[in-house]
Order: sequence, then structure tokens, then C-alpha cells
Amino acid sequence: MKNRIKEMRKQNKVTQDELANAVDVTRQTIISLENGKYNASLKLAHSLARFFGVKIEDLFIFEEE
Amino acid sequence: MDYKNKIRTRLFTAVIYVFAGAAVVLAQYLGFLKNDLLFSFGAMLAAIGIMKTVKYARIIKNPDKMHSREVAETDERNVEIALKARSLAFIIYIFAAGLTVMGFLILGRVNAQINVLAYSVCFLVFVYWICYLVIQRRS
Repeated sequence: MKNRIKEMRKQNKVTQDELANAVDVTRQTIISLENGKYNASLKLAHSLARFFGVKIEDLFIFEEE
Repeated sequence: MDYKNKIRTRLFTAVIYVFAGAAVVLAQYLGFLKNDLLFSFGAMLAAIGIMKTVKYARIIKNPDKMHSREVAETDERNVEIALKARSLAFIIYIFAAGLTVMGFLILGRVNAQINVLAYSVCFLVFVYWICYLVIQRRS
């Protein structure tokens, strides 16, 4: 699943560390999310969307196979 | 349970390890026990207890360190990695032990150790099945 986390993070001028602290995950998790190597749980997706002030579907792009 | 209380529980457990290990070492030293293996185990238990006691005491004194530990332990990706690693280790053990037992059976060299290995494989698979049923019912 693709996401716009890196794009939103840079738009809001937030570091990976700051984002990780804000949503209570490790920086490695943020890196994995941005690289598309890890899919966030619903709870984490909601936390990230709330942090950026957007909807989950605006942050995560679900592509049908 | 609050994370600070979890660390306190772990600290308490570590202190018990220290006393248990020290008791075994003392029993050996005073002549109540005459088992070198048990003495080594007691010394190891005491050493691990001391290291963990120091570790958890330092964590409790440092709120920033406690918070970063809590995040690292509860991070969903870390939890997922640990679960996957545990699952893979279980599968590898079952295959490796099973193949070892079969190999010794084919060679006709069955002894007590091979029996224990075979029983451990059966026991693990049985426990896995029970855990699966329990977790399936709860979720």
C-alpha cells in the first residue's frame, strides 16, 4: 500500500523523529512506512492522519489488484 | 498495567533471581549441595539478576529512557517482527528436530536423548494446537 507520509511530513516540516514521538512509534517504523516496507495498523494510520489533520484515505493510497 | 509498574515488577523479579542464585551458591559453598552444574546455574542466575537489577533501577530513575523503552517495546512493527521471528524459529525447530529424530530412527540408533527430542516435538505441536484453539475462541 502506498502512502503520502513522507510528502506530508516534508510539507509540515517535521522530522522523522518528531513524527515518531508524536504517534508513539520508533523512528525505524516511520522509515519503513515511508519506504513502503511496512503497512500501518488501523490505529497507527488513524494517529498519523490525525497528526497531519487529514483523512486516512488522503494519507494512504489503497490500490486494487 | 502502567509501564512503570511493569518495570518495577521486572526489578522485583530480578532481585528474586539474585537471592535464588545466591542461595544456591551459598548452599554449595556450605556443603549442603554437591552438584557443580547446579552451582554454575546458581552463579549464572545471580549474575543475570544483578545485571537486570542495575538495568531496571537505572530505567526507573530516568523517565526519558523509560519512555523510549516503552515506545520500543510496544512499537507495532517491533511486535510484529518478534512474532514473525518466534513463529519462524518454531517452524525451524520442528523441522530440524523432526528430521534429526527420523535420521537416527533410520540409522537404528535410538537412545534416551532422541526419545526426549521426539517427545519435545510432539509436545510443542500439541501446545501450539491448544494455544491456537484458545486464541481463536477469545478473538
